[in-house]
This record gives sequence, C-alpha cells and structure tokens, in this order.
Amino acid sequence: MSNVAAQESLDDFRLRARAWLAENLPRRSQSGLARTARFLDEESRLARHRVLQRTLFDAGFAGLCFPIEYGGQGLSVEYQRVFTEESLPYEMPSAFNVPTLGILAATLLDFGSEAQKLRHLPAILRGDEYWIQFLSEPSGGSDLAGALTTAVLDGDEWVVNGSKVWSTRAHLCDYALCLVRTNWDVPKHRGLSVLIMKIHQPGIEIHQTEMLNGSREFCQEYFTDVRIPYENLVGEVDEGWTVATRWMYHERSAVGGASPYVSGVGGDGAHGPNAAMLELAAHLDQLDDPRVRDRIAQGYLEGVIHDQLIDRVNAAMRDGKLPDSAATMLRLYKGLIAADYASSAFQVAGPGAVAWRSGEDAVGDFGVGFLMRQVSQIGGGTVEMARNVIAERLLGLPRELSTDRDRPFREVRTNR
Amino acid sequence: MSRTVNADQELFVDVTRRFIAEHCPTSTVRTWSAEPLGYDDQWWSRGADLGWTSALVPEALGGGSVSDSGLIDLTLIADAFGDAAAPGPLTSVNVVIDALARDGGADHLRRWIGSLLDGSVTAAWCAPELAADGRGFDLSVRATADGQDLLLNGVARQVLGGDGASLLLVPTRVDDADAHVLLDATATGLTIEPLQTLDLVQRVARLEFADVRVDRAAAIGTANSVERAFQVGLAIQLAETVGAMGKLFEITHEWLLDRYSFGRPLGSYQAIKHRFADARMWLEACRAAAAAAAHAVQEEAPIAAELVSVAKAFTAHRGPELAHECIQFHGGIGVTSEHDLHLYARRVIQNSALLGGMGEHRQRVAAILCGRMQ
Repeated sequence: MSNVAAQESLDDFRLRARAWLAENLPRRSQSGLARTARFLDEESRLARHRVLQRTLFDAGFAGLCFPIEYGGQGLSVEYQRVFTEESLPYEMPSAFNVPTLGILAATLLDFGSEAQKLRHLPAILRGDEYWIQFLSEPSGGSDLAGALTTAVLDGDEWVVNGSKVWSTRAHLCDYALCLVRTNWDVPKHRGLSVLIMKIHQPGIEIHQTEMLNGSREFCQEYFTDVRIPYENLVGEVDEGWTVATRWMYHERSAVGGASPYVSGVGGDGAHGPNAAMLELAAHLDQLDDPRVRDRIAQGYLEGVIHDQLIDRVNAAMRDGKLPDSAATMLRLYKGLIAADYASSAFQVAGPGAVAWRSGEDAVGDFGVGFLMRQVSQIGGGTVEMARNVIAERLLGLPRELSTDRDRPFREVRTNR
Repeated sequence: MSRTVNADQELFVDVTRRFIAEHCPTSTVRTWSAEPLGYDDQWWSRGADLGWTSALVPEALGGGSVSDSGLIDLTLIADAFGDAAAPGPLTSVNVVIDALARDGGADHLRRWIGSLLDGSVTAAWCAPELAADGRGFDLSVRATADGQDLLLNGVARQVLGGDGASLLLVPTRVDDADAHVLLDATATGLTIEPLQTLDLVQRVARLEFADVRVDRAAAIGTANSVERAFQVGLAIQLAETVGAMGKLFEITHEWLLDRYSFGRPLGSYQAIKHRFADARMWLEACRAAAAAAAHAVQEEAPIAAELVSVAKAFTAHRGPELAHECIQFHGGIGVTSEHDLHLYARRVIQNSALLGGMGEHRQRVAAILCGRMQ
C-alpha cells in the first residue's frame, strides 16, 4: 500500500467515490420488477460493461484490491466494500465480476507468472479482456479432477483436444483458464495442468446451449488440435490440481459473495437485498396479506443475513479462527436461500406466473425464475460438493470412498 | 468499534465459563430443576460478583464493564449461559437494570440499583407482545390515571424470572405514549403464577394486574424506552440461543465422529454429512445474525429495531431445526432424559417462542420494510 489513495481515510474515500460515481456513471433503473429474469441482449450488455469498466479504470476505481503493479489500487477490502455500497444506485460493469475478476483474475494473481500477470491483469481491469472458466467437462460436472481434455507438448506449443462445458458467455469472452490432462499414467489429481487459452482461435468451436429460461449464455466448446504457446502454462506441469484447488476456492468465494476482487452488484438494489418480492406484492396489491408479508420478510431477512454471514466468515478466516474451507458455507447459504426465495416469490406471484398475457412478463418472470430455481444450487459448484467440502474439510468427517485415487488415470473408468 | 472479541473480553467471559463449569454442570442443572427459582440461593449473587449485572450500568452508578461495549460483553456471558443451559434471570434483570440506569431518576436508583447490582435481589421485565401486524407492541397491561396515581390492569402472559423478582418493569401506555412503570413485586392486586416450562430451569411466570396502584413517579422513560428494552432483551436472548445451538452442534459433532454403525463412523455417511454441513452453516448464520443485532443495539443504531427481528425470526426458525437434526442424529437416546442433549434443545426451543416467535418477528420485519417503501 504505497500509493496516495492508500493514505486516504475510508470516509474520505467514500466521499470521493460518491462524488465521482454521481458524475460519471449512469443511474440504474428504479424498478426491480421490470428487469427480473428478462434477457437483454448479452452482447450489447457485455460491450457496454467494457466501456463502464474502462471508465472505472481511468479514474482509479477499478481493481481496488489488486496490486498497483498489475493495474489495481492496492487497497484493503474495506475500501472495496465502501465503493460497492456507494455504487448501488448506479449501473456498474458487473459482467466483469464473476468469473473474470472474482475467479480467474484472482487465480492468475495467485499462480500466474510475472509475465502472465503483467500481460493480462491490467488488460482485465481496463475492460479489454473478459475471461471464462474451461473447467467442467461433458463427462462429469462435479468431478473436475477427472478431466479428459488433453494437452500434449509439440515443440514449444501445447496441442489441446477435448471438450468443456457450462462456460457462461464463452462466445463473448476473450481468454479462458483451461484445466487439461497432461499425464495419463499417474493418478487423476497428479496429471493435470492449467493453460491460458485464447478463445477466438483456430480449432475451437463454440456451441451455445439453450437454457430453460430461453437464455443461450451457456456454452460448450470443442477443441480440435488447438495450439497454445508453452509459456501459457499456469503453475507447473502436472501440478494443475494445486492451481485448481485455489481456483475453486475463489469460485466458491465469488459465488458465495465473499470475493474481495469484485466491485458493485448486478440485479436489484433499490430497496436493499431481495426487493423483487416486495415489488411483486405491491404490483399485485397483496401487501396487506399477512401470509405474503411473512414470505416477503423471510426472503428479505435471509438476504440481510447473507451479508452478515459474509462479513463474519471473512473476518474469521482473516483472523485464522476459521480455515479457508469455511468460505464454502457462504456458497451453500446462497444456494439454499436463493432457492427458498424463488419458491416464495412463485407462491406470491400466483397463477399469473405460469400463464400470462403477451407483453405482461413482470409476473411471468417469477414462474420462469421458479422453473430455473436449481441454478442457484448447481452453478458455481453444486451444493452437494459444497456440503462435502464443509463436512470433510471444515468438520473433519471421513472422506467419501473413492476408487480412482491411487491408480493411473488411464485405468480409471470414465464417461468417455 | 471492533467486532472481534478482545483479550479483556475473553478473560471476562472465561471467568464465567469456568465458574459455570464448576458450579453448574449439567448434573446440577438437573438438580436445580426442582428448585422454585431454578437455581440455589448462592448462584445469582455469586454470578453478580463476576459481572452478570453490571455491564449495562455506568461506573458512576456502581456498574462497569471490561470494554466500552457493555451489551456486547453481556452477550458473551449469555452465550456461556446457553452453552451450559444455565439458569438465572440474565435477560430480565439486565433489561430492567438498563431501563433503571437510563431513565430511573435518583429515588428509584437509590432504592434499587445497589441490590440489583450485587445480586441480592432480582428484577423481572414484563416483556411486551408484538402487535399482530408487526407495527409496535400490543401492550397487555393498561395504565389509567387516578389522581396522582396510576392503576394497572391486565395480564403479562410470559415474564422471565417473574416469580422471585423484587422489582418489576411493566411496559404500558401512559399519557398516550409507550412507557415503563417500575413496580414493587409485593404490590397489592398483583398475582404471580409460575408457569410450567419446557426448559428445566429457565423460569417463566404469568402476572395478573388487578387495580394495582402506583405513584405516577413510577412511570419512567421516553417513548422509545419500551423498544429499547425489547432490543436489549432480544440481543441477550439471541446470544444465549446461539450458545445453546453451538453446544448442541458440538455434542453431535463428537458423536458423529465416535459413534460406529455398520462398522463405520456415523459421520462417514453422506446422508448425515450433508445434513450436518447444512447445520454447521445455519449455526454460523445464526451467530452472524445475533452478533450483528447485538452490535446494532450496542451502537443504538436506527437499524437495530430491524436487525433484532431479522435475527430473531431467523434463529427462531433455524435454531429448533438444528436442535431436531442433532436429536435425529443421536437416534433414540436423543429423545430421552438420560442424555444431556435435551437440556440445550429445551433452551433453544423455549427461547424461540419467548419475546416473539418466528411469525411475529417476520411481521415486524415486513412492517419495517413496507414502511420504508412508502
């Protein structure tokens, strides 16, 4: 912390941020109801957020918790929190938050070479590069160490073949971290490596998968002899699981809402967390129904406690009172309360959520949201994996039996 | 203000933890279940020596605390009470003491504060019930003017430590504003009826007021005093509840590691691991909510009214659920009196319903939320 801003008090920083935000960022629309679950044109949104991110960067408000030498501001998480609080009324480049900043830039920061960090982190913070995870494969979503996508060294290049899936908006992104198998003759966790992969290059075919809500942001990639420079290796050859473990820690932190590297929030904000149900009830003139009020309060207060839980767990991890695996509780909490919320909102919405007039999507969106409810318990690592992490690493309960840990991966049965 | 527990606070609560471990092991809790007050005649006054009554009282009045955050210090004690399912009118006495120290005036202070601080007498707070729509309180004891006096009529249905208390703090309406009345428990027209309770030692009484006459000078406080007392009471109760939840979890954690079934530890079954992981997470969330509420009350922040109800609605939901999960993981022994598990489950469940339950506090949160939107 050597720059001038670091000597600035939190209160001064808040005032400076407040003034700058009012002057430079567009205000977000007030009604949460109008924008729930509708899909704006993703391409336009991502392009717009590149510009917003650049605006933040040029003013010294991007990457507050990233080191100065990589284009950040070298500030502590308290400054980021203040900035996010002040940013709530404004449209922020939230498309950069997850996975680009919260997961991939964070992992690069931990394991990237000096050259990799200098090449990519400032570019990310400037809004020039969206990043994506090439992690899950069609052969198994949760069993990440069972990756079949293979990289073989050919001269000073890696040649990659295989397939990755569940990469959100990959077609609109620039780079990926890709978990690949570089050794089939050792047990599964010991033959993996991590590569930086440029997305738009020969040999990569991207297929967009339509989801239940009509979005086409989830992608599957097919790699055919994709060539990658040797120096795009992150960490050591065959030591990719070490990188991936930290990578997944950042994923759980980001999905749980605890990453210091993200800035601002997307979605609603007008009446605090989870205001959509309140606005829905007002729209349906049901605010006087005690049952509806009960659901509104439950949804709201679980959101309030999510923030309190983030603060508590982060502080405990920082003080060494809880291990890093405790961050997984945040991911689990978020998954469970988001599903509760979708269910409650569906009940409040009533039959208008399943059959609605064309053009009157505000209530119907809650039906779509309910149909898609399990997304919150699948994306970013399933809650079942989170429960395993909590039970085994935080609570020290016995590990699940596995039959693939101590023999060459070549001999392990997979879903090829 | 720092939210981490400092060394002084740790020492402070450690003294109480060791005192409780020595003088109130679970075998003693069981024995004291036969005592009228739920504890013996030394327990409360010895606890008072350890700071159980002084944290909310300024030093000038004979109180004091180890940090500049008396309520937070008190919640650490309450957590230790929950952790041991210990008895005593911790919530009631401290709510009354807080009201007395803030609003009491010289005469009331002279008469009561010394004996409350040293634990030679106890006080009880006739906790108000929340209005059904969540907007304010449904004060069930009415005060009417009669010359220079007030006449109290009505019923306080559930009063923690009501039996055995020498002084009562009665929330009511005086001159169209919420206010407190201080009342000697020997007053004519007052009937104190001990209730049966789920908890073995946390005593609750029903108080009936039939033309109970008090001097107008017994009315103390400002329009916000009843709300303040409610927040202090909830902050203490929440800390006690999460203390008991933590103990339930800890006992069950050991059990899952030590107990073998079909040749392997119970805790190796994924069906149990996953549910126990959830329990761990809900426990941490309850702790976060209780701590955030306590800090807001400590700071007298405007959001305290919301955060105590956020925490209570949540804990009254997740606390009993956690207790039932822990019982379930124990199997049959979990529903017997032989095992200690029930001592903590009783405390969690009893607290879940006193001072407003899940439903009432959700209505209060909704009322606050809707009020803010308008």
